[in-house]
Amino acid sequence: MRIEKLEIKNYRQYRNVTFDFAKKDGKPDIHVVLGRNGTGKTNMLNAITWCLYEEESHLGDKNASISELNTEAISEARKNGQNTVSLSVAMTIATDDMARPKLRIRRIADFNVKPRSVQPTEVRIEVQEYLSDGKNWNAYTAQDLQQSTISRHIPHEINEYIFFDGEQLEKYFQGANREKLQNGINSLTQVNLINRAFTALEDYRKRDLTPKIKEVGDDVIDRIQDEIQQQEMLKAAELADLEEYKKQKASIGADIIKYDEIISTNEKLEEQKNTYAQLEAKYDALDGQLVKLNKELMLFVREQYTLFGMYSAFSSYYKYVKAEADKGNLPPHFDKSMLLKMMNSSKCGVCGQTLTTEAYDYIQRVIDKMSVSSEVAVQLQQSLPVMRANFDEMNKFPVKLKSYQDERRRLEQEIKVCDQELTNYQLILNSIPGKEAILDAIHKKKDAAELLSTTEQGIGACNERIKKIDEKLEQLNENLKTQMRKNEKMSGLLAQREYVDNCKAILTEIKNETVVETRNRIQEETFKIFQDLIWKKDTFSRIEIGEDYTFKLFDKYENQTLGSCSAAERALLALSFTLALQDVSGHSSLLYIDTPIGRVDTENRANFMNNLLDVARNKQVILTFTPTEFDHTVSNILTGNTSTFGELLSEEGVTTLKVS
Amino acid sequence: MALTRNIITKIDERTKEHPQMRKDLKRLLNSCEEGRQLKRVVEDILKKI
Repeated sequence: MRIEKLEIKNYRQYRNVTFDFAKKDGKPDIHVVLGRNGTGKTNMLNAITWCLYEEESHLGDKNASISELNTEAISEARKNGQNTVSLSVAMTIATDDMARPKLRIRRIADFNVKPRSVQPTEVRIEVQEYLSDGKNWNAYTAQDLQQSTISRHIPHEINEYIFFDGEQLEKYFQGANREKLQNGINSLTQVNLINRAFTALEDYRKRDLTPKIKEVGDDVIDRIQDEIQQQEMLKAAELADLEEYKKQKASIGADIIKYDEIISTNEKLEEQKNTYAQLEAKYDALDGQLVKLNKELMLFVREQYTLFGMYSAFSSYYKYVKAEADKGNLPPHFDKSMLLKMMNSSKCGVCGQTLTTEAYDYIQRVIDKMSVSSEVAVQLQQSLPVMRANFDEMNKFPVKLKSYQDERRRLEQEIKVCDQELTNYQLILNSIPGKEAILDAIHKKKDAAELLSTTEQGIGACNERIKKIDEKLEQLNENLKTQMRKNEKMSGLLAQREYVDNCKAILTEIKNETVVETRNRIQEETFKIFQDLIWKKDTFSRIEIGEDYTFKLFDKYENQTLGSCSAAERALLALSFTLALQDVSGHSSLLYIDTPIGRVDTENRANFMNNLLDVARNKQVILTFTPTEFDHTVSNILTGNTSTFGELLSEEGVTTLKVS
Repeated sequence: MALTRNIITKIDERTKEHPQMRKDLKRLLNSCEEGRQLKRVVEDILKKI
């Protein structure tokens, strides 16, 4: 399906502009519309969705502030005294249906223009299909036929996968979009239809069949039915819990991706923070060692100071005693009283013999010569080694002092290095933008992971309880059937109930199988397309799409990388998913992307644009850009490769199109 | 949009022995798609049972 023509009249900035999206031979089916902010790029997208579904899906505050009916048209009407003015958007679409190859849609809104106000009065639509067999245009007037004709070609449910704004591509996998995504997929795969059919059968069984059965039933049947009802209520409560758990799981999953995105801006922050803490501890330890060393040094110096204070006295004393000892003036130990006793008795104190005159004189000379007592002499001599030890100690002082000083210098140096490292880390930490948010995200991610595990346990427990209830229900239904067979009046109702149950069982089987099949096919197809398009061929290994459509993208080391992907890679994954979705659902539509590279960094723009060019070889791609986005890189890739190129110009709030 | 080939195949596979059920399921699903009163459709289907 492709848009051939888009005509916008009196809609917001547009007075009267026609976009002709004809495909040029030999060129990719790519169409570029360039426009400054405010010229109506996004309102071009809104015009399309309004024309198709009477919805302006991309109406932000900025666009909503522009009057729906063009202000110049209002002024002109007032000037000419005209009361009714219309705005309209018309589209000509080439479909994939050979029998109805073209579709024309024109939605018109009428306004009552008063001097001070403008009131909308009516919105109407014209839908025409070109029938190839009759070779004519067939107009539909019935409202339901008009809308179903549009939906047959461009299903409302998938319009978000055809008409994008660039920001949406980047936010594709965030929580809020996932539910929409799941609904869209369920619509595309008709799982929603199955759900509706199932509910219709379920409602009929509960509200119509069950009361009728009760009416004609007996006590045993009533009792079993009450029990069934009770079990069904229990099951409904468990299913509601399960749904809650699943929602919680999806929400936690989305939170984790969000935290990963924040963390990925500086994955090493926590490591740096830890290193900083270790450095701080090292600094404190070194500082402690220095304080201890300084204390030891003070004590040592104080001790040595005492010794040094007495040094001159010690030195003179030592020199004197040593000199006297060297001269032999310090006699060995004699017992002077014994010598005197020997002289008085004139007998030798050892052998008892009478002393000779020579011996007597000799003893007398010895006694005379002893100027100091021998005891003092001994003590003086004994003090010499002590004195020497003190001198030795004092001689060691410079060596010991140097060793203390060396150690102190070493510690001071180490502290300086550590301090420098701390300063550097501090600078690094301070320079990290959003540091607090990253740390916060790291902690929250840990909490979320724990909560996720608890939630998964809850889901497991819920499933287990549901399984038991189902077993009980099966048994009760079997009993009920047996009882009902006994009651003839019941046979018709029983058959109806059984028929409804069988239909429900088939629908459940089809639904479950379709859901799993679709998810697996989209998963495979998305990764295949992504691998074809991505410029980093060896980085990613697989995609995993969860039951709740949570996306996981793994690298070759089996690490989840979606959170840390660049905006371009994420947008490309979204694009791959969209193409896969269109393939799987069999709705091959165009792609309309408003500002596709708004969030893509400069280095990846070329890659991304080349990808879009590849896509445009097989389907229509309409892109809108601001002049800033349409930079040298983008222009080089697209120039000469587009089927049409137009520029939106704005003069006094009115947009015109310049085609080149 | 009409029922997809995938859904039709799955219904056919599961109702080989029950042509009436096949017809009824397709009718019910088509009615859902067309936005019809489903209670009436179910009632009508069950009348024949």
